[in-house]
Amino acid sequence: MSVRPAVLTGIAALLVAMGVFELKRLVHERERELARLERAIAEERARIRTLRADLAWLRRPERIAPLAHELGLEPARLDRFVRTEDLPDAAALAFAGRSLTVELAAGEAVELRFKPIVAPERANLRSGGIRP
Amino acid sequence: MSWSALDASLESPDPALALGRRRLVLVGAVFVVLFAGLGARLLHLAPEERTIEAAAPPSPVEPVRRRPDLVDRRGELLAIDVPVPSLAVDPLLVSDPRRTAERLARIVGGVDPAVLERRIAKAKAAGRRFEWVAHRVPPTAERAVLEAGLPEVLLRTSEHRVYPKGQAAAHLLGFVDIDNRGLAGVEHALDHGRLVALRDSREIALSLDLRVQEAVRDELGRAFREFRAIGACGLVMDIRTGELLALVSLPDFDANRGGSARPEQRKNRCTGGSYELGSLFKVLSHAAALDSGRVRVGQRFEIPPALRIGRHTIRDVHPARRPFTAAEIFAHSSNIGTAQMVFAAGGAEPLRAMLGRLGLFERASLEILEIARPQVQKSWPDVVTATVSFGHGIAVSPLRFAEAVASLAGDGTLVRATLLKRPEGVPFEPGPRVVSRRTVEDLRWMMWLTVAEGTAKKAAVPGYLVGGKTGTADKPGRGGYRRGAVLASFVGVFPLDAPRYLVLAIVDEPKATAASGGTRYGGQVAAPVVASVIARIGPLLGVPRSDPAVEARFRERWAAMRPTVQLDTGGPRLAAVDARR
Repeated sequence: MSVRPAVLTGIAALLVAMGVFELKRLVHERERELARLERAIAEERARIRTLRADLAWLRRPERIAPLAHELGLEPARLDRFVRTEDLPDAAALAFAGRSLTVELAAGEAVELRFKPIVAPERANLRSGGIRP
Repeated sequence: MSWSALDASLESPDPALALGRRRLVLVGAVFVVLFAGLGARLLHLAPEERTIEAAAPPSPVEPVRRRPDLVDRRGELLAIDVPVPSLAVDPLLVSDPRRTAERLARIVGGVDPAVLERRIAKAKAAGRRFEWVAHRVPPTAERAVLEAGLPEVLLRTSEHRVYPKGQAAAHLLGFVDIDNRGLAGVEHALDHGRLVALRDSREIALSLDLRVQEAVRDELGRAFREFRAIGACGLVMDIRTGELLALVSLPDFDANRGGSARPEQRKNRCTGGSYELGSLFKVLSHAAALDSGRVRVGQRFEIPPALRIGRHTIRDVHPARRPFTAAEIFAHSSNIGTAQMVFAAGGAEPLRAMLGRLGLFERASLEILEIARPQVQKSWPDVVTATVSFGHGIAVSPLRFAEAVASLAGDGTLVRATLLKRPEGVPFEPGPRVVSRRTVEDLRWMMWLTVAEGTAKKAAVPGYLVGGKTGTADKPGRGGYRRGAVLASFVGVFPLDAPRYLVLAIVDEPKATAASGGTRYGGQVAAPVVASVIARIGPLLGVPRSDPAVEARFRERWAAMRPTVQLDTGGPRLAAVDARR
């Protein structure tokens, strides 16, 4: 048996063993970190659940209803609803009442005024939602 | 010395030197083997340490098996599991039981230090290592214990079901026992019923709308207290999909303390009880008669003061003094008229077929387990047919009845109630058709007439076309019906121009008060509840104002049919009716 290869093999084996050992230690450390993070996540989740329950408890109807009353809020009423087709045309409103000076061929300047084109029955909202 | 020199020296001619060197190599080899062994042992130990780490619980708050969160259709939280700490001590680590007991009693509260001291001392003497101090302590107590730094105190966290809305929808949600096992309602169904498949989901969206639930509970509760009733049921159902937006049973209880609720509080009167619903049933018998094709809405029936069938006599609360059309029979809720109409339509068979198609002979199809069986007569002689036509001699759960009315007033296809929110964006498959579209139209109009001109004027809501039917059912008792004990009810549908929601209110044994005009009729007791509920939830649910053109059409139809001489019940009795018809 030649001594040199044997010793070299021995050293190599030692180095590999050290490498494996170090690797295991690293993996171990990572796993600890992972467990710690998982625990932290679980704790955070539990906290979120508790806070959600808290929020829902604070929003319970028996508490909200008197608070809303104190703040001057009241239940939605049907006469507050307006259908979109009952709303006056925005473009018609924008020009309603505006005037425009036009020069006629004869050289005469005339002021033209846009008429409010909102039909009276449409302006008078069916649902009575908007009051003057 | 180089390697080759060492090799060479082992074969040295000097035997003593060669021997010494061989021994040296041998010793070296022994050491190599020893170190290799040590290294191997080291590597072997490394994973051992990790398994110890892995064996420890990954997290103290990791739940064993959480229950899914329950939310309403808008995501409002109704039930959730939260980790709640409990306190215990390790008696072996307690040096002075009195000091530990006193400190813990100060932190927890509600614990008698003397009793605790005795318990700790006893456990210590017995050599036990675990003694409970308090279950489910508030987070503040947990923090106080941690800050006090008591090594002998153990904190155990467990999942605890919390119902943040307390009494809202307690009958539907149900409750759990101390080990988080479902004992009623959805909680029970999650463990043992039709919802088992959803047990492992994180969150279950119910069909309930907490705002609607609260409106119903509020308005129904007012009637329940005002009329000193023994019970009440109110529900709101989406007619198109069968989703229950609200279901209230009174008296109710706090789901967080479900275990200590009394039986009458726990009873779900909307699903778990069968009632003879009385005149409400005329919706179904009129549907049967009209759908048979043998009776028309405008057909007139003579209404005798009393109707004799065999040994039995049927009477009306408010006797009619002229012939009634089928529509008026409905609107004025004439028992005699309804019975005659059903016989004109063919008697028991069409009525039975209609009730069968609507599923009145089976239990309601809700996901929870508290569903009462209907009580139906086995044979249907004429007297049974007559009584069933106005809702006696047959008892069903209010929920099943609501499903039936939803089927009739919707688009005539079968509606089945559900507690689960329908997924959005999935087109709804309507059930099989139960009545013709024409019958649906007729029924809607008659329900409108009942509110506009009949027994349910108090159910009218400004802005909405509401239709419905009142009921005042005598309650059965030992050997007959009890005097003065009634079930006052109203089933309403709105908006009638495009029916979307059904609202049912039933008040069990109301006592007459000044507010009801000294009566206990459904039109006085239950109809106003439904009207206030509709006025509150209509705008909330975004139901637009009813189309005035539809109301005009309804009124025209009534104008064409009603007697030309308006009858004044106080004046001379006029039997005249429109001669043209």
